[in-house]
Amino acid sequence: VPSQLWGNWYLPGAAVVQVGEGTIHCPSNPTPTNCFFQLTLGGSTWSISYLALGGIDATSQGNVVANRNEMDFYNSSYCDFEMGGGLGRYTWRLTAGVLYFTLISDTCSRALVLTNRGWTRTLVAGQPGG
Amino acid sequence: MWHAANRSIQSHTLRKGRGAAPLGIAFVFLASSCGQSTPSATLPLPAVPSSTPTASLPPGGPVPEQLVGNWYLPGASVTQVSGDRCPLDPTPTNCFFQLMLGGSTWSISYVALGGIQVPSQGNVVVNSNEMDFYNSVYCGIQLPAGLGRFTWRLTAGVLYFTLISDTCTRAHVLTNSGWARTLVAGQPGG
Repeated sequence: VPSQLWGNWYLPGAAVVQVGEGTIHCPSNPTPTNCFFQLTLGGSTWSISYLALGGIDATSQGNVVANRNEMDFYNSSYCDFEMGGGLGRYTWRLTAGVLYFTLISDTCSRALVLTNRGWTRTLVAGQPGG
Repeated sequence: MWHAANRSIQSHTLRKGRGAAPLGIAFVFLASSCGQSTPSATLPLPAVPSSTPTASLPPGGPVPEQLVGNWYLPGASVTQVSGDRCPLDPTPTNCFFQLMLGGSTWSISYVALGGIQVPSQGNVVVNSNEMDFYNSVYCGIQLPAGLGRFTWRLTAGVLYFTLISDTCTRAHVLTNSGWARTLVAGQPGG
């Protein structure tokens, strides 16, 4: 993964609620810091976790490789497929500091989160998040 | 659907203790005594395969059902133990430690200014009032080493741990104060 993408990226609580489809709720006083998705990218690893009413859920993690503008996610403990079966292929672009993914193909349901909207480096304006 | 699959992986995790631990910058207190190099500021740990129980397991059985689920410490514990800071507008729901106990698995995570950190997870057995933590991904020590032995007690709905012995530094978190089921009064947390 390019070093410029390493670290944490965030989606707001609206994405948590949307992806949760009625089963995941933000706290009754939702703020940018108590309800969000977090994508963590390392050199060869990724994880997606979220914070919501029920606390922290470290849902999914695995490995990742990047080839130019394509990023491939695999070995996900969440998807529970062996490599090849659980491969998720996406293109990525960084526009004005916001990270966007576009689905190429994925046998797992990562796209619901990854492509939900653009990922930002901060939870709230001016507050470092990653 | 994501949430449906999420439930699947949660139960899966409870059964097999699978998963990896993104390692945050603030959990340096653990690294110092776990035989692990200083954590990177941004690189999470690589995915770690499941821990397979072996003949050297400490004696005991699954976590009692009454203890299964999430338990919380407040933001004060986060700042004290991790050195990380709470958000500028700290509330019970944006800065806390979370201990998740499954039948045979545990994980400790926290949320603070830098977002979510999942520094530690592994397996656990309970033998009467003793709870033994082992195979911690964070500590990086497999059985028979790396065993953390604690007694536990549940008093007025608050879970307390007392250190017996531990070659890792889990006690900083586990015994910091009593673990509650809720983040704020009346709000289900687990």
